[in-house]
Amino acid sequence: MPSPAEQQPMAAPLPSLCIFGDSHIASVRQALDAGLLPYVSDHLEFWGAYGPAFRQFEYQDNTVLPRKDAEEMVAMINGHGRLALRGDAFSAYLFYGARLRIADFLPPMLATLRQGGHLSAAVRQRVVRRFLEGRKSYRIAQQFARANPGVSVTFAPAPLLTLGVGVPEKTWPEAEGATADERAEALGWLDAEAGLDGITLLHQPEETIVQGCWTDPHFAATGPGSEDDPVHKSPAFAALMLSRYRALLAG
Amino acid sequence: MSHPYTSLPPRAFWRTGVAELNPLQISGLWQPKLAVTPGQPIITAGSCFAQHIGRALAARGYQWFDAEPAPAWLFEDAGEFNYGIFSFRTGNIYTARALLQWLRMAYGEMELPEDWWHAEGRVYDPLRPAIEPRGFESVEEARASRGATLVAIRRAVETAGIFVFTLGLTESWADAATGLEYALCPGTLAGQFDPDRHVFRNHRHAAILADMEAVLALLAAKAPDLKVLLTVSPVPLTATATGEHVLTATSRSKSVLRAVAAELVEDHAHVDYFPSYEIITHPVFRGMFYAPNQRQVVPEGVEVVMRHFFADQEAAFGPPKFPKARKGQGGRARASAEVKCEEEMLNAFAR
Repeated sequence: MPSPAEQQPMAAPLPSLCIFGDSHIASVRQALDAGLLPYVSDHLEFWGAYGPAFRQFEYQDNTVLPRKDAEEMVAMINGHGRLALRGDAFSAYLFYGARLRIADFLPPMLATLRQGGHLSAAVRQRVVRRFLEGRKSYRIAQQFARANPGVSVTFAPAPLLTLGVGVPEKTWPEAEGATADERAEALGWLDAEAGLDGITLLHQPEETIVQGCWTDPHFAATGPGSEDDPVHKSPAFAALMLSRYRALLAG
Repeated sequence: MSHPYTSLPPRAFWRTGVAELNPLQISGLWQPKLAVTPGQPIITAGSCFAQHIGRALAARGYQWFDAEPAPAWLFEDAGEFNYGIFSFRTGNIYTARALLQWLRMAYGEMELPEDWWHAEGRVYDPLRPAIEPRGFESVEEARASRGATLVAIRRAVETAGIFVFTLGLTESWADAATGLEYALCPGTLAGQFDPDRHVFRNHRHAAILADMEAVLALLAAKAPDLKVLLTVSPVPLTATATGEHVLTATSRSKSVLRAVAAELVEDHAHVDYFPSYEIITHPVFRGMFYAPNQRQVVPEGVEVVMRHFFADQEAAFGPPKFPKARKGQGGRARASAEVKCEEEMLNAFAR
């Protein structure tokens, strides 16, 4: 299978871009280092933290700041000395993973739908808002979009768990075998609400999904100690996501 | 000289069963013929008081089965949307006829009514007008939502071992032309009252008995092993449309329902009656389980009722045997601590 880089050799560079996230951004970094993202220019910066440090962010005056405990990690990840991240510092922001886990939303919704359940518009709005706004990272994205109308704000939720890798805490057998249409219905609820916030959601590509509600093990994380990690994904997955992101920006 | 009364237990005599005891010491009010066991899926439906029973069973680790659970992420708002109140999202089912309608619709034995109520641009289902706090956004949405509830009713009936149904009222309103019985009087919560179209019914004993026999026949056909446990709601009417005083109308209503329940128990081996009605309402208990409005039942009253329930079950069948907990089953937290009673809507119109 050709890599995304081979598929799109004449790619135009992305605009100045900040990829904001938690441990999931490691796969993007690895993809970049492996040459899988040739269209990403020097205008790219990473910003974020992983583990408990990801909770050590504060937002004020269009700026995200790490608390003392997280400063060192943010500095290491960013590598450009940018501790304070302003909402107007880049022309585009891609929130990547960042604790917004689609595995916590899509499988239970699919289970409800596939058992004949129905969510009224009022219920849909309530559950979607609670899922999205329950994450500080999404609230930061909301603030960035609200305060900086000319800036592109995209959020790529952490993908579905990888099939057959590790032991998930909870599974949704009723969601197994869900169709693309069923997934599109539930993801469409998220898209609609995020759209009202000026945020575009970037979902994992359909071709990475197997058995209705799992990520294809082909895209499992590849690093040391990742044998039982169903959460993180491979650099190839990140490359595919960034390729979709670029297409999204191109309209 | 020997006669049938010489060998009867103390509970059979007023002096030893009641008069010589503190009301809270009275025991053996129920000789259950059906064992309610912790491993058995139990479904609940009916009027307001049935909510207490489902909640108490779940709290004690019994397997109260929610066939239409709240979607993920709704959390504490589930009760506002009437999830987790009964085993399916019908709202209160006050009459035997309403229960029969729901079951017939669920099993395709009745045409689905296309009668919708409208208020302030929103759509309300006349069979459960309070199910969404602000109504539905369209007829299509209301129809789809009702369809999901019908699926859940089938799942509940075909999964459960015991169906606890609380008979609530005899009074109801119906469409004169189609006979469709509404959950509430049109015009109270939504819809418009039309005196030429909407008729008042105060169901009589024979009609209620016939409806309940039809309910039992339908359940037996779809779920042959399903047992039915009846109760009668001790909650008085909020209002009566009979022209009588609401107190005497309540007596009429509850007496008829109580008589129907007794006859069903006598005629069917798989039907039982639990006397929560008597525990709350009987003069022996001096009205102590009612709130000051003499209508709502206080939590202490529900606690006493359920204490009788479990004690009488244990006396008949021994201590309950709890199966090893299985993930995602049993003891499900109920969505709301507040009992939902659409009939309260009538209070808004009380003088």
